[in-house]
Amino acid sequence: MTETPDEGLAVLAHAGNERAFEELFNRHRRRITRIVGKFFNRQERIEEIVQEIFAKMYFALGDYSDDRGAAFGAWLSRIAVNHCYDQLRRAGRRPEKTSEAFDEDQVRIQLRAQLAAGGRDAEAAAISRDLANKLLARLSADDRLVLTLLDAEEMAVAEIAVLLGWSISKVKVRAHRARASLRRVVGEFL
Amino acid sequence: MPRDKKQRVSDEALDSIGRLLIKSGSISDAEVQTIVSNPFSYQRIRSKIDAERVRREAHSLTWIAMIAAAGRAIPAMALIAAAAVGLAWFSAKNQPALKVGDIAAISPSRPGPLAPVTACSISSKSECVVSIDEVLALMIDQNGKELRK
Repeated sequence: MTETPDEGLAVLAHAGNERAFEELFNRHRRRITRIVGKFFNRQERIEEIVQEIFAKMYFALGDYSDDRGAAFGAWLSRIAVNHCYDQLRRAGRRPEKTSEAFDEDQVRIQLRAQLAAGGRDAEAAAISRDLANKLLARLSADDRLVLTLLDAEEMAVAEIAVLLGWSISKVKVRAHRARASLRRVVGEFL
Repeated sequence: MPRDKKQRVSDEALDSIGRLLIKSGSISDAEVQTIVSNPFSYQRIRSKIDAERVRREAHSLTWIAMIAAAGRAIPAMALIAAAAVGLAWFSAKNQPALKVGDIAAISPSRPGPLAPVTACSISSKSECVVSIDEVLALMIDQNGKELRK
C-alpha cells in the first residue's frame, strides 16, 4: 500500500477502499495541519478543520478521478486553502476566541520593540502568536489569505494564482491592498 | 523628497513587522506534532463522513419523495382538467343557442332597467341609423320628464 502513488490510492478510495483512504490521510495529515495552522491558532479548532478537509476530500474524490491533470497533493492543498478561506470568512462574522485578553498597551510595547529592531530579529522580540492572531483578525479574509500564502507559506504569486484559481494580476492587486491594510492595523498601535 | 523617503522607510518597517505578525500567527512544529499524533482523528473523520452521507441521503430522499408526489399529482391534475374541459364542452353543447334579443339579458355593461333590444341594437346597417332629430327629441323628452319630477 505504501508504494502505491497518491493518484492510485485516490482511485481506490473513491471505489470504497477504506485502507486507501486511511493511507491518504496518514500521508497528508501533517502537511494539511501545517497549512491550517497558518490560518488558525487554537489547537482544537485546527483539528476540527483538518478533519473537515479530509471529509470534504472524501466526497470530492470522484472529481479528482475524473480530472487527473493535477498532482494529488496540489489538489488536496487547494481544498484545504479554500476551506480555510471559508472558515476565515465565517470567523470574520464571529471572531475566534483567544486565550489572552487584548491588552493594547502590551501590543504597543511589542510592536515598538519590533520597530526598533527593524522587524528583523524575530527571535529577540518575538510577537506572541495570540497577539498576532488578534491583530490579523482585523484583516479581511481575502487579505489574510493572500498575506498568509505569500509570507507564511512563502508561495510565489503565480503559485497562489493557480492554487486559488485567480489571475496573477488579481493576486498582485489583492496583495497590494492587503499590505496596505496590515500597515494600517500595525500603524494604529505605533 | 526627504518626506517621501521617510514615508517609504516607515512603510518598509511596517511591512516587515506585518510579515513577522503573519509568521508569528502560525503554529509551531511541536503543536503540529501534537495534533498529528491524535489517535482519534481518523475515527472522527469517518464519523463526519458517515454523518454527511446520512445528510446527503436524507436530502436525496426528500427530492425523491417530491418527485414521487409530483408523479402522482400530475396525472390527477390532468384528469381533473380533462373532466372540467369535458363538462364545459357538454354544457355548451346542451345549452339552446342564443337569439339576438337575448344578448341584452346577458350584457353586464348597463345596470338598471334594460331597454328593449332590437336588431338595430347590435347592427350598424343604414336602416338602423338614428337621426339627429330623433336623438334631440329623445333628450328633450327625458329632460322634460326630469324637470317635472
